[in-house]
Parts: sequence; C-alpha cells; structure tokens
Amino acid sequence: MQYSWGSNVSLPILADVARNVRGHFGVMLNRGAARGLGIDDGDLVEIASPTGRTEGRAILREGIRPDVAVVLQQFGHWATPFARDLGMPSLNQVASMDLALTDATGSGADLVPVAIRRM
Amino acid sequence: MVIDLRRCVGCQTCTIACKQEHALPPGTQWRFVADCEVGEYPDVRRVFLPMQCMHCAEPPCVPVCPTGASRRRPDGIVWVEYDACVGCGYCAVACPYHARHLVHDAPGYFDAPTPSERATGRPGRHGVMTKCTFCKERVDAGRGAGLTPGVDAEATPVCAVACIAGAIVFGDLDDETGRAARLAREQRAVPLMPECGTRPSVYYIAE
Repeated sequence: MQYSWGSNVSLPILADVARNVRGHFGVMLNRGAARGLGIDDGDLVEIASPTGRTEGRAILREGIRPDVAVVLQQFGHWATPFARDLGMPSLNQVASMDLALTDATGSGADLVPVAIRRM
Repeated sequence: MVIDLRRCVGCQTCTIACKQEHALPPGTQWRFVADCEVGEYPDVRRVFLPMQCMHCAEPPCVPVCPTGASRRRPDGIVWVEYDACVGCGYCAVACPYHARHLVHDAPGYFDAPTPSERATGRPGRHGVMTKCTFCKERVDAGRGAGLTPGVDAEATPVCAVACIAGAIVFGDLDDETGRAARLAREQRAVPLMPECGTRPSVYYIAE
C-alpha cells in the first residue's frame, strides 16, 4: 500500500483496504519452507532473534525465499493511534537499534537473522 | 469495461475511490484488487486481479430475485432497486463472482460517526443488497450533460477515473469504434469464468 511516510496508518479505512494486499498483518513465509516447520496459514508463530522476540500470524506465499521471513512494518507503529492496536509483529523487538547495522539506502536497521517456530 | 491486468499494480486506488464515492461502511467493498500468485517457488508470478460485479448479460442474480428488485437496464448495468429489496440474499448466493454485499448494520470507522460519515451515510442501504452500480448516477448525469462515458471523466465510473495506470477502460462495448470495444477486440480480452454462462460485460486482458 502507498505508505506516505506513516501519516496514513491511523486511518482505519487504509487498514481495511490493505487487507486486500497479502502480507500486511503478519509474517510472510515461503509455503514449502513453512510446511517443513509444521506451520500452516494463519498459525501464530514466534520470531526470535539473538536480541529479542515478537510474534504474529503466518501468511504463506510462494513468492518468498525459503530462507527469509518478511514482516511489513507499514502498520507496525507502536505509538500511533489505531495502528498501535493492530497487534503487528514488531521489527523493533528483534532488531537492535545500532548505527552499525543501518544500511545506506533505507537508513533503517531492518534486517536481522531470526528463528521461526509455531507457538 | 475492459481491465488490463498487464497494467494493474495492485495499489487499491480504485478500491478506495469506490469506497469514498459510495460511502461504503467498514468491511464492505464493491470492488477490490485480489493479490494472487501463479505457480510455485521459484517459478512464481504475482498477479493483481481487480474484482467487481461483472454486469452480466445473463445475470443469474436477476431471475432469482423474489421481488424484482434485482434488475438489468437495457444498457447492461445490473442494479438493485433498494426500495423493492427485502434483503433475502438469494441473489448473493446466485452470483458466482461474490459481487453482492448485504449490509445489515453499518458502523463507522471510529467510535462515533465522523462529520463526513454523517454527511455521506446512506441509511436507505441498510438491510438491502448492495453492489457495484457502474456508478450509474454519475454515468447518467454525465450522459444527460452531453458527455461520453469512458471519454469524459465526469461520465465515467470513479474506479476507471482513479486508476493510476489507466488499467480500467470503461465504455460502450457495442460501439465498435469506441476505445473499450477496440481494446477488447485487439488485445483478445476474456471474461472471468465464462463457463458459468453469465456473459459478463467486464473483460480482462491477461497477456
């Protein structure tokens, strides 16, 4: 969905319509890889990194690398009204806020090694 | 209507435009863009498929209506006369495209109705069947003003006007020189699920 630098994530109509686009409200996993982990579509899964953990619903897709879990953070706001109540898996909980991890393009520490398991 | 799937990027601008134009309550969408995948990893493709009422020439939703509220106009637009609809839902069951939406209760998006929701709410649409109207009021008003649907924005459904990619082309398919009919013919557009025998008026260009 059009992101608008976070300024529209407190509009419920946006979240309503964003449900048409797969992947917004959970963690996207490769279907075959998820099956190997005993994870089904909609299962609650734990996402654990060396420094923290978060959880969310599994969204199984074919077009995701088997060794990657994707968590869109458009609605992942933790303070913005409405968005903070959506129960999104939060990247903040698993990725350290460290300048050394900041990439040159998105200026965000948005990649972290994780382990996934069904809860 | 002809929808060019090669141009659709799944942005949902048509979805939002439709919801705004018709003041649709939370959870109700007369049209939306489905996010589909074709194939299996690693040989997989993402396809965005706009879905809505197909305004069929043989609409299965019309003959099943016990009150005659479900109708088709001579120009092809399939619509519901709200005053005659009893909300029984037969038409929704008959529609193979899931294009009909029965709204019993229409809460707003917030705890209390917003000023715009109060101004645009349509209480007359509660408890009756609702669906894509091809923006018939807009099309009729435009036609009445001497404008051409599909050519002039003011006479064209808002989804087609709002589309950022020009993927939705509206027009009279019987007008062989019109853009919609030409596009459908030249690009070999196809209807969705023709095996249902409903003869849709919405065509898709796939490849």
